[in-house]
Amino acid sequence: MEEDKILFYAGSANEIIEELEKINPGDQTRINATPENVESGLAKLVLTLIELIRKLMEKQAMRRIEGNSLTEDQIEHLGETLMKLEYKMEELKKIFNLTDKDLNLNLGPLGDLL
Amino acid sequence: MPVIVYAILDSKQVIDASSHGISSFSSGSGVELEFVSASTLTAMVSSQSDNTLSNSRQEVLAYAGIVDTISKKYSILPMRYGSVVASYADVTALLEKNSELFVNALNKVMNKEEYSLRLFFSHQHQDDFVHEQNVDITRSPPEILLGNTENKNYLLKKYQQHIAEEKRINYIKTIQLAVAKYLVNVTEIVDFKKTTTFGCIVDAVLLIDKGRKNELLELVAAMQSIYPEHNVILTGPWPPYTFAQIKLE
Amino acid sequence: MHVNHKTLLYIYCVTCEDPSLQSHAGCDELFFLEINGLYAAVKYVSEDDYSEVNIKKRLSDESWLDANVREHLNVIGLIMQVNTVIPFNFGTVYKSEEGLKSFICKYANDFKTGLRYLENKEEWSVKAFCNKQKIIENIVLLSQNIADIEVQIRESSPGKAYILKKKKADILGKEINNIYNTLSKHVFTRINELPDEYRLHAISQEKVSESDGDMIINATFLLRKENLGNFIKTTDSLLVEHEDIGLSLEVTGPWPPYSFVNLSK
Repeated sequence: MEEDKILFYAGSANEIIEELEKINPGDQTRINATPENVESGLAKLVLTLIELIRKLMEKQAMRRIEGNSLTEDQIEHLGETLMKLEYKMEELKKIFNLTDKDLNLNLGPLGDLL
Repeated sequence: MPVIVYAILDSKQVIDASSHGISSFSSGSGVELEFVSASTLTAMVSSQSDNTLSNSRQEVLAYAGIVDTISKKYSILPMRYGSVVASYADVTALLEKNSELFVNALNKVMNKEEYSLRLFFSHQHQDDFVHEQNVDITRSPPEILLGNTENKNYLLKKYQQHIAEEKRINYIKTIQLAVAKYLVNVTEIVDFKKTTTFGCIVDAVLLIDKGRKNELLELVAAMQSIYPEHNVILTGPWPPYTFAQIKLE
Repeated sequence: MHVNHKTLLYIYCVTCEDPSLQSHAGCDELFFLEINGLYAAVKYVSEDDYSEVNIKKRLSDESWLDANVREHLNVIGLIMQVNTVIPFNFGTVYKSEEGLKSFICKYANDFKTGLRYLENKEEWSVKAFCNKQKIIENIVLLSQNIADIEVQIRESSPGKAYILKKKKADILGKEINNIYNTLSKHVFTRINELPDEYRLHAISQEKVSESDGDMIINATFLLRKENLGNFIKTTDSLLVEHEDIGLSLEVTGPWPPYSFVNLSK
């Protein structure tokens, strides 16, 4: 960014630069479709969707907990299910060599998926 | 022969004598700009001698630089890197087909500039905030999660993360509301983007009338003095990338 | 007297209809080559004039240039009366028929698309000028700000009037500019009702003659032939409407459609 675009800043310049880098990584590599990464591109898409659903399930679980309407058995069952899901997700991510950052698709005006 | 499109604007702006017309307009980068017009619109383009766009960071920046130069002089709909059509005839077809869309979008951004305002947790404050949250949370978890089974502990951890996240979101909302109250003095057109990193509290883009830059600066300085614990950065003016978004047919 | 070996092939333009029905457009050496469904209007010329080295020398010879450019535009103009053309720049030559043929074949589709697009359309140029003197004469009618100051001047003491007159001089330039802007936008909007597409050009600050005035519009329009009548009517009525403030319009055409043919040259 040209210096003259910075109109005002306050606080630590270094910290600001660090945070800006996180939002807009300097070297945004463009996705080139080659046979190798078309496959991993698909994996990315599928896993992102699964991760989205998993997170939604987590949120729903939290609301049920807050609602104070669950029995001991239900709590145990809920915990076990979510734990297994997360564990499975980690496995899949390892298999396809994807990190959480990779899965965070940017939907343009809608922001990031996760 | 491929044609690169940089911006679309109202033809009347080009005719404006006080803007000294076209002769004094240079893209500042050695690229020769041409004006191609149809209906009431003009597209600023250049013809590309070779067929490949290399996508290199340099090219992307050069393109953005040209759009920025154009936007300083005219109110435009800025294009993004990669806006290339096959021929000049395609440019005029584009203008004619989407004339109403473009005119409406141009009205929204006429004589206005886009700015970006971001607030970040300072690292110190972020640590403090997180610590406070943790203390808060461990204080009173729901009874049903106390039991020290593997599943319950898992859920407890998740629950604490969930509460922490909710607190953070609420905190962000309060700050955003406060910022919005400040900004309303200078514009009503503000878009608070969803924050994507933990440290980011506010990531807003706003559209204000050209010439009100100093007012905005004063406002932001005043606002910042209320939140000295946070890092603030205001950048601009930018071509109205966010507010000139159009969906083409 | 020297022997002219005419070995270079000079091209005027390309059309897609068989122009054999025409007379030779006032140029004895003109003939047509059929290439891939297209027709190139050509003649043989000498290296003495048109080789890369020699043409540069010729370009500084004003009378030679004048005569030959006129001929170039005349020939194209005459062919244009019956055919849609894609014109070539003055001085475009090829070393042989094969050279020309391979060029045309390579871009045959572009030519054909271009010719289809230009069919039944004409290129017209419009330059609009404002007479600054007339505007200044009528400034009170045209600018409210100036009118207000004039009133103030009349009602003021000499001292204050002096200051107000200076203020008037200061803002006069700006007011004239505003009038130019309002007028140019108005005129442009009216003229632009009919054309398909257009190109806006730099406003030349130079004056060809004092009577020309300040240029406020410089544009080239692509018009359908059937709209030409109304286009001219509009320009005529604009002249009448704004006669009193010195608007003049230079409407010329039809030109060879150089502005709307965008092939790699």
